[in-house]
Amino acid sequence: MDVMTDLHAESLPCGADVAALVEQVGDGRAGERSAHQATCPYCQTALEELGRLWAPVDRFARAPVRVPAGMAVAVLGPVRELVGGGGQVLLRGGRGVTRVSMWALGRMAALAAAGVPGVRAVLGRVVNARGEPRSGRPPVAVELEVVTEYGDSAVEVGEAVRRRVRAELATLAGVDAETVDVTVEDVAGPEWVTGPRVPAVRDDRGSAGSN
Amino acid sequence: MTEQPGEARLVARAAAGRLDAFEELVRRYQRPVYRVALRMLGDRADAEDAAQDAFLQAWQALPGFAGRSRFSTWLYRIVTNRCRNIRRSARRTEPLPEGLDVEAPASRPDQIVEAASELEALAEAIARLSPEQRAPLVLRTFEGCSYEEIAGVLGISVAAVRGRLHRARLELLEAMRPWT
Repeated sequence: MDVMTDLHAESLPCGADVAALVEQVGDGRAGERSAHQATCPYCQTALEELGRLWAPVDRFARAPVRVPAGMAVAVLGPVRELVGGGGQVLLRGGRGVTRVSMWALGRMAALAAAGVPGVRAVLGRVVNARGEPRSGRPPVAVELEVVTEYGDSAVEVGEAVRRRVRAELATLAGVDAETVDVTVEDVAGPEWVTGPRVPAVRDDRGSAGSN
Repeated sequence: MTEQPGEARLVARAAAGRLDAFEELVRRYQRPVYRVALRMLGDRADAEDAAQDAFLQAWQALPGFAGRSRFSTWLYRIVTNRCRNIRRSARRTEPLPEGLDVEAPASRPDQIVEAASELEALAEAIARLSPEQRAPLVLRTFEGCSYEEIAGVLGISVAAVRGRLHRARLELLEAMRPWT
């Protein structure tokens, strides 16, 4: 279908500003027509044509983007090198050893804590515990900061986190979490939003009269 | 990107050198940062490099982040700058940039091919834009940033954002003409 609208003209025969129409369509407001646009054939034709031309851009914008697997790890590797250390625990096996970094343990602890009902967000780190191993497993000390839900007992959530983190670290990494210190850093009310908003480009094709 | 409750605290901890706090910020923001880089550069490997560089630079610059702008605005500024400076890889060989193969609204093979070619033409048109025009377009159209936010990211006036966006949109509309 031919496009009649001159994109580079200043205005339409009715006097409407072409640049403003381009902005209206590009911003996803093609369907929000002014009183003038509701009756003006020039504006309606222009909005429909621009909407048709712009539709592939909106489709492209909505296409999901896959973040490459391991991106966070690739980002954090050099940063950890800058910071230095962190350390590892050594697990002796039948033939050879398994090393687990403190970062990995910290992540396991944080994810384990995040699975406890009432816990909304967690930061966690794991350090080597001082003192002698008592259980035969390498001893570590865990420090967690959590955000709990309003209405939940900080004491009970703290206990549940401790139990679960101890059990998970024993199962997943074979280490003994000798101490699990939990700090309730914040309390989430109903305003708490989970996860970053996915920017959405408004889809007005349904209301723009394209049918 | 919307600011989440608790984020200021997270940013302050990361600025103080807490790596676990920074890790959490990376996990929250890796998607938008990578997406901006991908749409700016049009190539996955280049975008991954730019996103990684941006986060590394963010970590190093965080102690100086005064919190005058939103953290997301600050991060967008770093990644758009990285994209401007990154050495573009030699001519890319991938048949379809990411995202072109995912959403074919048609089902017949010829329609799918046409939809893919249309999006490919679009991706090429975006690649042909000057970086000055591409950055506001990517932030507005793909990230849903407000004009004010884009002005903050790029350090230009809202009027300049409008002007650049308009020229970028005209280029894309012209490029889509043969496909209607």
